[in-house]
Amino acid sequence: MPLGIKIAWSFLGVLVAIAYGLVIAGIIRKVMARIQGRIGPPVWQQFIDLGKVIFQRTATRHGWMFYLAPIFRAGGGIGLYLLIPVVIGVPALSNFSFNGDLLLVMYFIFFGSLGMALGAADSGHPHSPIGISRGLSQMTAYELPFALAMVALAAQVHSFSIHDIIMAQQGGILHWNLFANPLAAIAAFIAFLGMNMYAPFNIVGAPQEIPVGPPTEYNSIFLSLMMSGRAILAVAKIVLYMDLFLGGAHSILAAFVKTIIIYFWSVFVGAVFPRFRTEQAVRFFLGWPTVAGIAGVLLVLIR
Amino acid sequence: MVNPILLIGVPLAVAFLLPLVDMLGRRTARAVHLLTLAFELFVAGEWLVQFLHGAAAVNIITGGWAPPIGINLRLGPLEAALVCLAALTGIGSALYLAHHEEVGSLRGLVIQLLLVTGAIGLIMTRDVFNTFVFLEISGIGTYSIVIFGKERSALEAGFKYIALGGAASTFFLLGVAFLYKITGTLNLDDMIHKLPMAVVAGTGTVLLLLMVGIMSELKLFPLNGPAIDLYDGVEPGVMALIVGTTVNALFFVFWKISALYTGPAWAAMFASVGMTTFLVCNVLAIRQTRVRRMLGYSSSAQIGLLVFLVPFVKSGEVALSAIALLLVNHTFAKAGLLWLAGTHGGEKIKEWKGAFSDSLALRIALATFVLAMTGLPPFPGFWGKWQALVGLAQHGHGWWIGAVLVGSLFEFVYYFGWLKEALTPAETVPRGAVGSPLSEVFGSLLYAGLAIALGAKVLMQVWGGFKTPAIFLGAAGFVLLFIRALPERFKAALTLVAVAWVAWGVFAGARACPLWDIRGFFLVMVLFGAFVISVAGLGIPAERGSFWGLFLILVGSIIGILYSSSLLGFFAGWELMTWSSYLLVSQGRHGPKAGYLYMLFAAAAGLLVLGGMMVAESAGVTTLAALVSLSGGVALAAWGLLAVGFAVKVASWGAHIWAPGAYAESPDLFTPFLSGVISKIPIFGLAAVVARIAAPSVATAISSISVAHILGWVGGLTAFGMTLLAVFQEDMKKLLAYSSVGQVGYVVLAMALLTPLGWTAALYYAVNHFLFKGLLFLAIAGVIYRTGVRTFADTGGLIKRMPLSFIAVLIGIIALAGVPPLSGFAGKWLLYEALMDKGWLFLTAFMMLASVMAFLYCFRLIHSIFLGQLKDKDRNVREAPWPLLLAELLMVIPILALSVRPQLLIEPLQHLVTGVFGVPGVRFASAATMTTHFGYFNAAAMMALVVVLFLVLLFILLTVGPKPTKVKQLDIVYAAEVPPSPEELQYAWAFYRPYERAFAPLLKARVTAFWHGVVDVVEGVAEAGRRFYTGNAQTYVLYSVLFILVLAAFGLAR
Repeated sequence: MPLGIKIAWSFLGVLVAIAYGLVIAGIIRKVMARIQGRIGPPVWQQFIDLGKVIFQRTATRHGWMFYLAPIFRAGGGIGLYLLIPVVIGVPALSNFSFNGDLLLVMYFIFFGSLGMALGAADSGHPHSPIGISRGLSQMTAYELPFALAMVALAAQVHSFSIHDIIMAQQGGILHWNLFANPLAAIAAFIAFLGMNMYAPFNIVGAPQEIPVGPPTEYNSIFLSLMMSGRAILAVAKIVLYMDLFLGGAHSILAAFVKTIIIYFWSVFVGAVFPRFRTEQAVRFFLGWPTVAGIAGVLLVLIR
Repeated sequence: MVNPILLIGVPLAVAFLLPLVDMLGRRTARAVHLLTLAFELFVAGEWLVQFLHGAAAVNIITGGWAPPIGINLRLGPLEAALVCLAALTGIGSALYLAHHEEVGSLRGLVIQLLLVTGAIGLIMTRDVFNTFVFLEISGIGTYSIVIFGKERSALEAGFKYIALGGAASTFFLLGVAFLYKITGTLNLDDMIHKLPMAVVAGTGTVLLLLMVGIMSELKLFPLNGPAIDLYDGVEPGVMALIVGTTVNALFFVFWKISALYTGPAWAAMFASVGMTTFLVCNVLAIRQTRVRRMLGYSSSAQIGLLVFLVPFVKSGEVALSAIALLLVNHTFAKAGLLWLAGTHGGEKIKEWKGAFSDSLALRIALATFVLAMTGLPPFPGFWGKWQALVGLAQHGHGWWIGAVLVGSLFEFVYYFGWLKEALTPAETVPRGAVGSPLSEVFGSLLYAGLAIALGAKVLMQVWGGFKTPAIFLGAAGFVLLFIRALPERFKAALTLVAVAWVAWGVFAGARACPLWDIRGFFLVMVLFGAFVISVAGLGIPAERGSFWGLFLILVGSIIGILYSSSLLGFFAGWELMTWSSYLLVSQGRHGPKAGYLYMLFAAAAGLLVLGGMMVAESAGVTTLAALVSLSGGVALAAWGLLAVGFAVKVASWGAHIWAPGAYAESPDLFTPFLSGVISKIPIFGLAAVVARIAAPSVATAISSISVAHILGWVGGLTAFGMTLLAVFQEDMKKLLAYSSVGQVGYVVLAMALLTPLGWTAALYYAVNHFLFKGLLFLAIAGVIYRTGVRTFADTGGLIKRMPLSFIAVLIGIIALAGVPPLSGFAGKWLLYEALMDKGWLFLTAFMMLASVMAFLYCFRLIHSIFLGQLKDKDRNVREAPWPLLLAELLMVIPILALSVRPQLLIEPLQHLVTGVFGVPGVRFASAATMTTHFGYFNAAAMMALVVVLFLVLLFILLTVGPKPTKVKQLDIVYAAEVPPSPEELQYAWAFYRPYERAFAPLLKARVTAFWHGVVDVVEGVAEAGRRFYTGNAQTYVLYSVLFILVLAAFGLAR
């Protein structure tokens, strides 16, 4: 496929992914509201919010790092999405995943977070570094079970290539890593809760305490980029999990279904549990989820 | 040639005539005294030159009677050298004592000459009874000079000395008398000849008596009590004279008479007594608080070492030159230190703060003597010790080597403890050489110069002449040390030129890409690092005048390591690097204390490496290349010792406690080099030395556990532990210090993989760490230079004042964290692929955790300095000086180049690892895509993706929406309040407190507690030992009786 067409497809894919990310965020707000006995906003509320911030009449900025950070944030989300194959067998939807393996994806996740953290901190608002401190602390903690799960998967197929990992899961639902290595899957899916920062791991943004956390000072067009970045980052992560544990997707429909299921795992947990303090969250991830991850690696070693 | 008899005759005659000469005036008497000593020096020197050109030793028959009836003297090379030393020390002390009221008087002059004469007699005589006579002459000289002291302590010391000296003489005379009865001769050579033939009961006892006499004269443990008191009580100039004359002569007497003692039992006894003295006295010296007492213990220890070596030299196992070098070294350094102690006048070690800070030459002399005493290169003691150990190693005396090394470690403890005080700036006006006349310090300067010259000569034999880069840079540095007048920036420029000159010479001549060879690989890093530091030095002036001189010596020593093909050359460079970097670390504000800890661990590492090399020497291996031939247990022992030594030097977990202080407290200009380059030299050691020892055979030696695997976990644990500690630091340099140690842990881990991919990862990581950590330390140096603060709580918001430094730090932390698209990611990628390829799965996940934890401190670093609220005090801070920014740019360019094309480094590395392992670690699927067994990575495409995304999004930001208004610093949405001061809004202290709570169980300072325990034990032993020397003459006599009993029992047991 010529590069130009590929870029065009990818561009389209990014737009769809952002829209999809906004929709599921809307669904979540609705679901949460219903669980709490409210009517809740409409599903497309996120689009309204996005439109609002884009067309705000005034915008304020702090230093130049503050100015550039939304680019890093959105770029990090989009880039990550572009490194993950969405639908196998469809070159248009496999993005640019042949430029790097799972390790690149794992590390590119940090790109956006780092940029956002730098910009937010440049605002000079104390809530931003407090939120970042919490977020980074939590991130390192869920990284351990997550890394163990990734190591288990890679050792299983003897490759870090996402494509190879997907291919190894073909031939029936029981070949999915979710069932082929349930221990690694448990570790990874618990880590996923931390990654998404819903309750019980939502102290990073901590509504009521440090309003919205790191991006406190962002407004207008900056915030719109942040929101888009966040939306596509969420999509990229669930697509990654789908590829790693649910055998990837052969069609767009299958991708929708699988990713929604993955996402709602964290939504439902979030709806039920209260919030962990940072040190509690850290200890939690380094406890049983890590044990599950170690067991997952051992499982590979024993086989 | 002058008749050697005059060597004794002239000073003796002058000693008697001196009162007459004195009538012409004291000045004349002094001149005659000095002339006499100069005559001695000239005559002995002339003979020495003859002997060195192959002349045979001369026998002088006195009184017209041939031996054995007459007394004969002998002058051979050893005798001539010792006489030279005695005369030189005599001159030094005479000049030193010239202004001394008592010892400089006429009586003093006579006695000084008497001491020299007695010593020369002891050295030259071949008659046993005559030896006794000269012993008494020396004794009388010592007694009378001792009681010149007016202080009570000196008198008391003198009395005790006389008491025990008398006892010693009695033993000696008894022994001589009985020996005469047994052999019928007093001539030593005759006696040596006849003694084996005489079968008389009790010969052993007689010999024992004689030996106890000599040993108590030599002040071996436990008979050294009075001697120690003597050091403390007597005028140090006198003590220096005694060290250079009597002590050496007595040792030579022991050397001569030991020919009577044949058989393994005596040899074992000498070795045991000597080694016991060496060990015990070195331990006891640790707790001494008084300088000269400490020097006394050290003298005993050194003589103990010489005595220990005598039987091995006699049996031909150890070269004679070992003893000669050690003795010369000891004379130079000990006499020099005593003179300096006298000049300074500080009796307690604590009083030495800021010693000689007004005199460069004396400071250099002090450092020279301390380095020489502890057996560091290039001073003669180093070569002597090496030769001694090689001899011991080649004849299977492994345990003795261990004992020598342990004793040497204690030497480091107290000598560098003393030097630490001297290097610590004084709070009040320092004592020292203020206004001391040149004559008083002449001896110290002469001996320091001789030690340096002699050492440099040997070093040049090992490394080559001035044309070799190592020697050239070292010599240039040595010259630069003495240039005080030039501004520091100009010295930096000179350094720059020297380094560039060497680099030009090295690389212009190299036809092949030097990266293909592991030495070349490190050479590029060292020279580039040195170049960058010199550039930075144009911007930030060094705080101490000796900075650039020492820096060049350091760079030279590292190049010496890299160029060496022999174990000796490598180790000499290694120890040179150790002390030069130690002195540089000590230049920081709190440097001496941190440097001391650095030195102790570096010394321990050095001794471990030395031990490993001795294991190799025991198998006849003398070159690095020949290490391959080791096998079995020898290979395992060498591998283990070397690997542990290098691991200590990279501050692996467990031995890491030296690193934070050393990195944080060293001069800001030096830290980038310390962290970027010096921490990589042990890695070179692992690659060039350890890895040559056939690792597979080592690994199978312990069947189930792979040794390499242990090393891997040590590296991994270091990476994790140090990263965790870095997260909680409140000091920017300490944070980077812990980070550096942790990062090198990754390199050790990757080296331990022993696969082509692992080594690719290790070496790539090493270069990358060199670049980004050098960059970070440089940028931080700029911040500290401009703001004057180091703690995070005191900075913030500096992005507004120092944007370029911010960008430098930003690039540094992105490369450190391994976030794409910068060069760090390729390092992480290679590391994980290598670990997975080897099958070390848990270590892979563990390292992923450690890597992510590094984000915490990376953000901490950049946020607390550059982001958040700018403090009012910093509103006028300027950007870092341009040369510093240029230096940073020099580091940034390779980082960016490697980010786009990591192949630039990885491709040459494939040649290198293919040379070692036979296969490459990384393959290139296309020009841009690298592949391993596990995955693939295209850095250029990654970079292109990021750049395109950035430009597109920037375009959106610039065109869509309203134009943003810039608001003021305090205009933030904050609880409906306008906060008045930046300080209230900066979240900078205890940044990761919740994280700290979560990891609380891991954060107890267990390792520090362990080392404190070790120190407590050693100090406890030393303290208990100190009580052994009660200062009571009766106890001392009791000890000598007990000593005889022990030796007798020893003899019976044999």
